[in-house]
Amino acid sequence: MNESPILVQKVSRAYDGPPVVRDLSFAVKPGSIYGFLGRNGSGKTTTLRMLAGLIRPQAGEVRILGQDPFTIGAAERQWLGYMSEKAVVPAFTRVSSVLNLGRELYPTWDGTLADALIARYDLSRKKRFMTLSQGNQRLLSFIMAIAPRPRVLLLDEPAANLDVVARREILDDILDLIRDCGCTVLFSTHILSDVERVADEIGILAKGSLRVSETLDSLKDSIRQVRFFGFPNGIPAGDIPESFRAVRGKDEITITLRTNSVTTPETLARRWSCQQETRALNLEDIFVELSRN
Amino acid sequence: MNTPKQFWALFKFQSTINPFIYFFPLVFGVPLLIPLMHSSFGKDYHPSLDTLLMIQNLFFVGMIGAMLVSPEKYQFGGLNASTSYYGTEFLLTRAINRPVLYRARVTLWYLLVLILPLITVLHALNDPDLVVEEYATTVQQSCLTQVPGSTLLPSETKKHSTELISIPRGNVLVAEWQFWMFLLTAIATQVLLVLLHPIKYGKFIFWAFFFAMIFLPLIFIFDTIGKGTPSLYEALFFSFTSHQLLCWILTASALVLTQLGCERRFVTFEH
Repeated sequence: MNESPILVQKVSRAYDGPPVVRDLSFAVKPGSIYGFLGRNGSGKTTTLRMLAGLIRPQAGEVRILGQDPFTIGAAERQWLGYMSEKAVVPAFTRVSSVLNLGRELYPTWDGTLADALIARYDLSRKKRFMTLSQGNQRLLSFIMAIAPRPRVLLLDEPAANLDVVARREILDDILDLIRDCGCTVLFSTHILSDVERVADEIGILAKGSLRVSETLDSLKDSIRQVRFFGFPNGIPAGDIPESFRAVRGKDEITITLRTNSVTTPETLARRWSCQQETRALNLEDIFVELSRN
Repeated sequence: MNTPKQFWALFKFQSTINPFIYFFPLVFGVPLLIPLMHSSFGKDYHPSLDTLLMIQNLFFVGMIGAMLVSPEKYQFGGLNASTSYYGTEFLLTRAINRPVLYRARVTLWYLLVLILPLITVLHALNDPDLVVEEYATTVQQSCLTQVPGSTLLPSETKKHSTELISIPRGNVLVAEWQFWMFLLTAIATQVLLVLLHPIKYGKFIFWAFFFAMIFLPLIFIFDTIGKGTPSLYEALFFSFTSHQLLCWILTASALVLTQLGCERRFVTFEH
């Protein structure tokens, strides 16, 4: 049995056209937070929907706590919390009805936590879901995902439409949940500062493929942007192996690559008999460089 | 959580999910009551068996079914809509067994479409016997041979030029037949919804059927006017009355088998 609570192995998935996710593999360590980054349409939501058991992969397999999330029943699903990127709570339903449903369906429902969050986020129980602001709709969806005290929490853009205070509070709540019950979290986001703040590991998805999956420190240490210049015989042609991105200028090439791979900046500079200048990247730079290609 | 508790929780939630699900049964179901209340308008006979049997609102069974059983699939733009009115994704990602969610939705649907036909049956019990005017000899003969207990009224009680037929418990039979028709339509719609769900253009095929259900009764009427033969509704009614027990047994079996089969199919669908 694999020990990763969230496991994605060689997964591909298409809808009507080309694959949205192709040959995707990653695993999330127990009790860790995995930040899932990617541009719009990169396949983040499709991956999360497969993990939530809403759709199935066409190739490969996904596992939540060792089981296929598409076929699990209520007993196993109580350990899986999911927050969609969309407002999926029925529009006419009152906040109190939604909370009642949670209390009735989950033996592990933490009413004290739900009440505390409702009070902290200042949500009115009498209001219908559609009359809540978009931010409050997200907060209610978040409460529904964490109040059952799940072992695995999947959050699709949890901080979208939230003000900075609410965003901070959500991140703190996620950290509390992990501290209290060792929950494993996978969350997708566009907000890089959130990832930097809480994620233990980061995956960057581009066009359905995972470009990197590692810790933030490892990413920052290993990925560099290198400018090669002073070519004696002009700019070299052809692909550059193991590079994430290469931009050819008039007299120089700028390459984003791993400094700890076989093709290091030094080997390239020796091969081309040129000079090189290395620049460290922050997470935003890395994300942009890896997502652009 | 055990299945009955889960079913009850989901049923309660579904029943409050969207107030519009109660609008259509009210609007399209109430006309059912009107023909049966005819006798209370001061006449002692009904002018035509055919008009009594005419059901033009069966289509709303399909409409409610599409709204409740698989709503996002059968609504245009439903899957990509920014607001959800039925919460399928929300419910499927809670701690539920998917067959129980399907069962809760189907139960609510059947209750909504059968409640008014059931009321007509109860109403008919207050005034069970039916006297109906029928001029076509073929229809008269079919009625007399296939509807239990039906008789031509003796001439001294005739007040009209055409024949009157007395059907003991006739109003109850008509109401039961209407109930049966609604139940059959719901079962057929349930099968259709599930069969079409995985098909790419299933939504369009379903709504084509839906509009056909609206217009087919009109075609049946025009087809039988002035021919003196039993209309489709009359033929179905005569078959129902002459084989009532068999009809109910077969319908109950179909209901159970359809439900079990559809639950098994529903859990395999992507949403």
